[in-house]
Amino acid sequence: MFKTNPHRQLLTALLLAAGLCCSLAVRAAQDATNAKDDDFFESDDTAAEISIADPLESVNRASFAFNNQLYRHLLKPVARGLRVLPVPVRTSLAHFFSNLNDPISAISALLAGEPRNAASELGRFALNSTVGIFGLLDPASELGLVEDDEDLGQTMAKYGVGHGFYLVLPFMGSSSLRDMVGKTATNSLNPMFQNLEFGEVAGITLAATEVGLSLDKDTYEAFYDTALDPYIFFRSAWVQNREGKIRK
Amino acid sequence: MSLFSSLTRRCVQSRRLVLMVGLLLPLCCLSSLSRAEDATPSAAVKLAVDKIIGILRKPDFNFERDRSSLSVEIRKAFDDVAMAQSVLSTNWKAINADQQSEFKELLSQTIESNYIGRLRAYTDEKVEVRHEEVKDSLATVDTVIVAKNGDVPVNYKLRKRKDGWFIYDVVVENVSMVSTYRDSYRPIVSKDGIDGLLKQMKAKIAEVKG
Repeated sequence: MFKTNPHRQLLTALLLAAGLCCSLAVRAAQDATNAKDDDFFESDDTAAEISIADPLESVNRASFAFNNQLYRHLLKPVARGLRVLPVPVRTSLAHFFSNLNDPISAISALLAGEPRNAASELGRFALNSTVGIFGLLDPASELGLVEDDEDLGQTMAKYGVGHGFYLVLPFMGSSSLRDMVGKTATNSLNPMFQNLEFGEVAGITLAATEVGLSLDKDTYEAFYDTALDPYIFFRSAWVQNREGKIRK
Repeated sequence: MSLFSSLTRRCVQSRRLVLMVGLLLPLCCLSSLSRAEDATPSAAVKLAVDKIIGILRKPDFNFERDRSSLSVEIRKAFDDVAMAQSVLSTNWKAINADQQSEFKELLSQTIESNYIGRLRAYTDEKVEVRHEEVKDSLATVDTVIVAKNGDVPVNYKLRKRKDGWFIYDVVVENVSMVSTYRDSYRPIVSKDGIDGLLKQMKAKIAEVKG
């Protein structure tokens, strides 16, 4: 499934084109309907609305409910078990998994016209893969090469592609049409994972997820349990987080 | 479709998202600003952050006992009217004064119960003020929480009143508290009206207090 394939590039290009068309159309519609803040917030441009179309809301809600159950009954209990490992060990593991994504961030940064970020990403990868024993430690951060979360979804956004619409994917969580296309393209560029089988990729991913969760302090639960409508709450938070990364 | 990149990144992102939202908690609970009317926005934030961390690190800190004083401090540092108005947006003017004051009170309670419950988890992080921007009576103060698993940017939005600068929003890794509540409440107001929203907020507060 991850082997290089000549059709893959064509597929990626088609997906990109399809995503672009849909997104631009939806975005234009949204711009026209954004609400205005009143009183003193009228002068506060940062309080402008950030919204996303959600035509598949009922399907998304079902996926969200599924992911919630998966999280609470499978992922979280395993993560709690991992807490027998000392925090520094789990932090090192988290750096290792994060290091695996650096070359992709470099390509995305380059495509977005940010060569300096690209150089920094590649520098991070080289440094952390050598000095840092496969990313287990994070010497690059200490040297000022800060991790930069670039991906092709953001690259597309910088070329004016809107989200299209919101998607919640089973197992994978929040995304949008644009970001899903971006991720498919991102994955096709990742040399490391073109050579892995699906099961291996899923295994590494699961391990990365569990390590990350073991370091988290039950914040998901705190916000889920106090929100009037957790689906909307997390959708809003996700959209804002993505928009912020793109503006950066 | 390849799961790896999306899932790993998703994991890293969602963990960070969750972490950063969690980090709102202690920072929202900013204590009172001493001589608030004289302080610059960043000095106000710095003072408040230092003070709240000071309380949390007291050797005899007792969560149950100090909970009510923390609650008092939150209300001193935050501008509850500005928050309520900003969260309700255009709906604010459409409701009467009683509904406005009830909403303001319920929102304060929601934010408190949401955040105070999370306080104890985040007392070891160091906070640094990085940048301040003042535009007339509004200001943004950018801070960074220097945490073990990576820095978390936390930006405060403040509004100037006669008695000093007051926080009306906290933005952690681009996620604004006010925007998130606004997005969450808007569909409820459209569907059930303001009274429906107030009823649901009351029920949720009671449920969380358990």
